[in-house]
Amino acid sequence: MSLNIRQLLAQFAGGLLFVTGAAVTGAVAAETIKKPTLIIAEHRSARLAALYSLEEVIEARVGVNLKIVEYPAPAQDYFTKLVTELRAGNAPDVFTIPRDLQLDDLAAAGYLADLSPAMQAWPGYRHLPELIKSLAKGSFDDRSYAVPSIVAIEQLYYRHDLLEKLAISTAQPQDWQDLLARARQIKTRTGQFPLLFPAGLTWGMGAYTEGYRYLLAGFSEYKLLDKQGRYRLAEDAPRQAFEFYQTLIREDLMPVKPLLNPEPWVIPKYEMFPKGQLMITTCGTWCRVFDWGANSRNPIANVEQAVGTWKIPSVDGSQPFVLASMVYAWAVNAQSRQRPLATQLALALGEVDVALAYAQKLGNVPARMDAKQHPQYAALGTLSEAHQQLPQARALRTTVGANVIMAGVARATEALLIGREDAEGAQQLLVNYVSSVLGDEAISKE
Amino acid sequence: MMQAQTHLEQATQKKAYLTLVAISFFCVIPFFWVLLAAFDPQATQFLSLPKELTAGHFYNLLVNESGVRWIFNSVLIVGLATLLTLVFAGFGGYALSRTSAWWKRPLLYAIILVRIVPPPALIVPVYKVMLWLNSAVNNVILTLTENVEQQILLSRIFSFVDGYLGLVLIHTAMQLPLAIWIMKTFFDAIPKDYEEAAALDGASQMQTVRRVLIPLALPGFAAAGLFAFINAWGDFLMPLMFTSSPELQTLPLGMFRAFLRVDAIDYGFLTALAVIYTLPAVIAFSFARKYLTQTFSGGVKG
Amino acid sequence: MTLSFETKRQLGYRLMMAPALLLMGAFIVFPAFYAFSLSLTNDALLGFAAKESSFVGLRNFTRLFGDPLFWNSLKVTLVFVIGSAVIGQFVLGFAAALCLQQPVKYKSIFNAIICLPNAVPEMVVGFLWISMYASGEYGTLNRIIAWFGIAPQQWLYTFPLFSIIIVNTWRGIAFSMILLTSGLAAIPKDIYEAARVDGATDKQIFLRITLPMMMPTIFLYLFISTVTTFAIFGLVYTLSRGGPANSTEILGIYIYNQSFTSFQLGYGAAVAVISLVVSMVLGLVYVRALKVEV
Repeated sequence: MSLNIRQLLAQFAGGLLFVTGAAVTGAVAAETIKKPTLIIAEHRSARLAALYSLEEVIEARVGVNLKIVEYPAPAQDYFTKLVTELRAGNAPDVFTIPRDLQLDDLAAAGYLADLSPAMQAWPGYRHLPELIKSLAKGSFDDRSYAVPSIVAIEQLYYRHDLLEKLAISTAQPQDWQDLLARARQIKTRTGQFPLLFPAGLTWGMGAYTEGYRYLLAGFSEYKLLDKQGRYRLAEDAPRQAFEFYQTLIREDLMPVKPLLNPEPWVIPKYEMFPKGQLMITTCGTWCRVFDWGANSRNPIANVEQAVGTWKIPSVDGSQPFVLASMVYAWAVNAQSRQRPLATQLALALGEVDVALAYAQKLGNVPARMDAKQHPQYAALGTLSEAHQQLPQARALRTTVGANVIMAGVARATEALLIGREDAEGAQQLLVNYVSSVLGDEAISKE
Repeated sequence: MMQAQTHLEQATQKKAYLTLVAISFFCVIPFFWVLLAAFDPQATQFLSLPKELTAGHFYNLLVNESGVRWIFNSVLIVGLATLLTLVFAGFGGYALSRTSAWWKRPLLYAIILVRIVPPPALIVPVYKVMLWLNSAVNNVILTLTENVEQQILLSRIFSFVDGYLGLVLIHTAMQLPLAIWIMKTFFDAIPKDYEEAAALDGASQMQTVRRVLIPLALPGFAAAGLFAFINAWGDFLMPLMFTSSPELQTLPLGMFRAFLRVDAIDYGFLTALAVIYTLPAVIAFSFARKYLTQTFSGGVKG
Repeated sequence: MTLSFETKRQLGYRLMMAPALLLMGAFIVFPAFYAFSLSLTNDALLGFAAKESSFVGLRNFTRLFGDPLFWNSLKVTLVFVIGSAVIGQFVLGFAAALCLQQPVKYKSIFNAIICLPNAVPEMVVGFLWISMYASGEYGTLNRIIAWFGIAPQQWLYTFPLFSIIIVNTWRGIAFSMILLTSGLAAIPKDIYEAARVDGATDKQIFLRITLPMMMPTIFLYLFISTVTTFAIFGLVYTLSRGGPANSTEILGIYIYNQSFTSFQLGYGAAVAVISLVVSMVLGLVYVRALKVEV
């Protein structure tokens, strides 16, 4: 026993003293400082650490007390808690929207404060690339609903070290055929899986964001939305994107079995890729930190050199591109009791020093281009390359119902994975699912 | 012949012991981990014999604000809900036992059916109802005071979503059907003569209830109260639906959310909390056990 | 006008009933009916429908009947109920009840141990069994199977549904034991003695006397445990949340996931309607078949 009763009692008494003491000092502090308090939601330990490190700076900048409330770490738990609170009117004053394509659904529900006037007047606004500005707006009303902070640049990551050893070209693939040819070459030469595009039900929204979206964005003439904001799902491009999956699956170019597992990303990304059993995968800037970085589960030695990046090839041979996603943009609760002040806070969080602190911890890049002038910019290391690509990046604009599109793509790609449907059937499944949830009127008839 | 029979009996007895030991082993083994880890300074997710024992985790609960808060909230919410259940079920059970009005039988059948409704099937409509009540309450609060701090305090207490009142009432509503059933059964067993005698002495209906019936129905209150407490105390769904702010977190949800901090789970803290959380339920259950069979007649177990 | 004593008394009864009826009405009965009307809308927590939902007729139901995940959930629920309530809890609880009828020592200790799981709150049940099922060689269950030379398993991944059935069985043995014990106690002892005098074997006694005499209790048990198992939520949610890959997504979890992780309240309400109808049918069958006296 490391404690006897007397020690225990002494510690207990100490604890009581501590509690009352804290209560008293707390009360005194509340008396002396009359600054207003704003509640801010944050989650995941890396993000919390970044926010705590900036807490005092931001408090001073806005002239408020921050009350940081920790939200559940898993993405789904965070979002559920946030949405139910927004609906009930007791959400925090300021919070983040994890991914840009969730913005429209939140804005359409009336949960987000319109920040347009404040954003226009904000000096930081003109440093944002046009693409990011547009992603921060509601697709249906063109109002700004979020203050962008950091961006994920997404492209293809491949084992540069292994391909060089095999004397397989590491040149940028120019179109889908080029990429497929490279994949077949890897397959015949090594017998390993060349390529991974996330798919299936258990990967959840990643089947769209980290897989299908890469392909759909490869049509330079195609947009996911028509002029009325309806989803163009019943057309050629979506079918051809499914056909690409079908080719990968039928020719055994992509690992299928691990994708049917729970946590489908674990085996291909954290095990097969580091072991060299998978050569190319879609991923974002965070991958070199979280997936294969020094502190990850199976680190790849010398990851910056060993893992190279390719831009995403287009279907028609037009310029290869990278995708940009506005992640964790700051938004203001439409029902906040202190909306003007909360808006000031959100803008303060959109400043470059905040973005840089988060970007480093999360392996993302700052949304603002003037970050380059900041003394901390050098700390980004190779991430700064990705930052340079931001102005030319593409994004696939979605609108209200994006969560349904994602669920539909997860179902459709699952059907392809298990061989229940061909590309055409998968497309039909997606169309049917979306119209059964959002109604026929959500699908473009043009 | 005699010997053969005892032999046979011994064999049966041996089989009985073996079966009982096997079942008991199955029942008890998951508890070892929580009981050991709660006193182990190096507690992990895995069962292991502690190298040294410490009461530090329990002490942490007392200084760690969230632990104290969760316990306090659970006790307050479940305590109030149990109390309300007893009051309303006492009245309701008595009325159902004594009345001979047309609504007696339909109501009794309705209560059986209500007890069968699976709570998960109610979450969507109940959530909507709670939202209405919530916005009504918050509108009233906004007219009462303009001070933001007071508004926040008032809405923490009286809100239906993320407020004490909502949780207390929803727990009460969920526990009422069984409690009414139990109370009605107990009142049925109390002869009407007592009340009639009291009534002849000029006591009002209320006085009769207070002076004569409540003392006689005490075991019924005990049973109804114990089951209401156990069920509300252990419930996970309602807190999951209707609490969100850290200040309002109760034990089940606080523990669950702490468990979601995948990269930083403090197993010592959580196991100690699990022990504290489980103890009242086990104690209440040991008292309630003898009433358990009496609750069956209404259809659904407590 | 003065009210007669009797009228006053009847009025009193109604007044006494009122608070309980109001609460149950507002939070159980009304919501149960309201689920039906919600299920005909596209109500949601996200998108334009969150602000203003509209009537969509039976669209949620056509979607539901064509949704493989709904059928999966029904199947999982059925297996879960049969596996844990009808088989697991019943067999072990009956075995325990029968053994405790024997002249064994330490009855109260066995009794207390078997009752222990029943008293544990759902969240703690999940917590305890996550440690039991922990993967790798140090997981408790993996250590136990190692005694038999079996390699460590990832219980909640490889056998998810089976694993939660075990947990619910564990939790419910006490209930079935207590109920079945009360049934056994009601069988007159002299019937057994008469049978023994006639030279009946244990097996014959069990099949010819115990089982037939126990039938009403067994039916009562089956009804109660089916209904309660059907209503389970927290136990599965804390353990697996319906995963992996929907393999443990019982109806309650499916409703929650559709309503609060996909945010489609209307569709969630449609699934709830199915769940309500199933339970009400069970309830009516019970009230009629067992001729419940109220």
